[in-house]
Amino acid sequence: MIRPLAAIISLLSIATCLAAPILYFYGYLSADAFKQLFAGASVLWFISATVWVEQPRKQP
Amino acid sequence: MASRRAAGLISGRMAHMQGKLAALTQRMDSLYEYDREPVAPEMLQGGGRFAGLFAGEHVAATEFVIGAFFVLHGVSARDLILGLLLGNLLAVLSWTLICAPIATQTRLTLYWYLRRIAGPGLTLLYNLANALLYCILAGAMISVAATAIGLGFGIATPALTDVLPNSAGWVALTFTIGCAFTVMAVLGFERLSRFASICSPWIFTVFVAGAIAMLPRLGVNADLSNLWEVAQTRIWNGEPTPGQEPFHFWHIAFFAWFANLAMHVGLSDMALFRYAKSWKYGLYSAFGMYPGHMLAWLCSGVMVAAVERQMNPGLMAYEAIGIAGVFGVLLAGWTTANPTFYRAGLALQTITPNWPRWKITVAAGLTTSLLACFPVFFVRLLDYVAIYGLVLMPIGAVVLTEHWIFPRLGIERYQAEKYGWLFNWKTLTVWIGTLAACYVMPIHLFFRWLPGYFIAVAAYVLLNWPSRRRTS
Repeated sequence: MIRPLAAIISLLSIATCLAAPILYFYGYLSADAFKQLFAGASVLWFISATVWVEQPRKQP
Repeated sequence: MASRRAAGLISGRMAHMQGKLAALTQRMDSLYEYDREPVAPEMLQGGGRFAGLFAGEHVAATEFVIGAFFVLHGVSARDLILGLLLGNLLAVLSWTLICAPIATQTRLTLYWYLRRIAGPGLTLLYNLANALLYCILAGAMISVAATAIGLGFGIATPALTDVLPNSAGWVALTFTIGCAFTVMAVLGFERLSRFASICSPWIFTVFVAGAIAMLPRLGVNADLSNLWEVAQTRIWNGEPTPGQEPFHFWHIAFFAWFANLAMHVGLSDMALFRYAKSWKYGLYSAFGMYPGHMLAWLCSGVMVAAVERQMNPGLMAYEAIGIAGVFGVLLAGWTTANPTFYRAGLALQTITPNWPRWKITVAAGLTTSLLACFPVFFVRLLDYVAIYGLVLMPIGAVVLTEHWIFPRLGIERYQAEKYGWLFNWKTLTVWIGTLAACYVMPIHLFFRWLPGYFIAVAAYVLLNWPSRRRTS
């Protein structure tokens, strides 16, 4: 259960890293807000992706 | 009488040296013993694994510097894009048509295949040369990481003309970072390699996000209507920074082609493609080339243009995405340096008998950290990448000739293995001769490897021509 959850969070966080500069470019976010969002999503990526990689796969 | 004694002494010393060399090569063989046998069919890997490997490997700290240097060298936007498209296509084709077919036929690493062709002594020399070149490249990565950490301490990045360290602060910084990377490598390669695989996709987002975030600063409209105009006038505007030679289409195309010359034409990636089900898997290298060696280079170009062309990867990333950018540069440098310590350590292990793994890693790490103090490898990175590929290219030409051309000409193959030679002197002659020929060529450094490659092939055929008659 933890592994798929970690995978979903990882993908969402990396997508946020990519979406943040686009939102900033179109003026939906200020420079500071964009940088904070990117940093937060990055931290989330490293935590969730580590869990994703380290958790053993479920054996069939 | 005296001359006879002298001759005896010389031959005794030579025999002693040969014995020592033979012992070294035996040690080297035992280190690589685990991959001595050709890969078994059940060990072959699917295409997705190759795509992932290439995608992860080719977004590194060097990308921050290379793309930025293209801007400093005043390439135009059109030349850059067309040059990158062509050069990366040629690189992909080199993997597909040169490296992968030999790897899938032999199922061997370059080390074991070269040993049959060039003899164990020359293979040892090749490995040591490769290790030293790798250490220098890792040193450049440490320098790139130092530009990020240096921001926090107010340590100035070296000027583009610097060869020697410009300040005690820079020496202390690079050496400390190098030592920190070394300590982490000592604590465990495997765990770090797994962590590096997590870093790769994120580092890629650092490039993309950094470039997008810098577009407003360069004056790009929200509807992107003036994107091409900004690219042509404010980023790749065709005007080199003072002191930098101008680059054009062919410089870019050749650079993109030879950026991994040692891997494709130089055949180092036989280690990878021996696991491929088909030579066509070489095409998967496009997953590394186009995101890493095209998109990431374009992104770093955007970032450097937005900071008034200051060659400072740390500053570029910090200005673009803040503190996460600083970590991006640091992690990009570290994840590139880490496997390099491993490879260099493996080569060093030959000449350091009975040393534990940690001691060898420390030796490789300290060498690299010392090299990192010299900014010349960082500020002349493009030239260094060219030289790195050029130095190893003749060996790739020799292996290709032996594999494809010798059977067609009826020239005896694997003479070193058959006759038990420690050194294949013909291979060594071709290696040194080709490099000498490349050194005196009156053309730009970037273009020398290609004629050099044909010279190496022709010279190796000519030197082996007598054994054709013997066989027939």
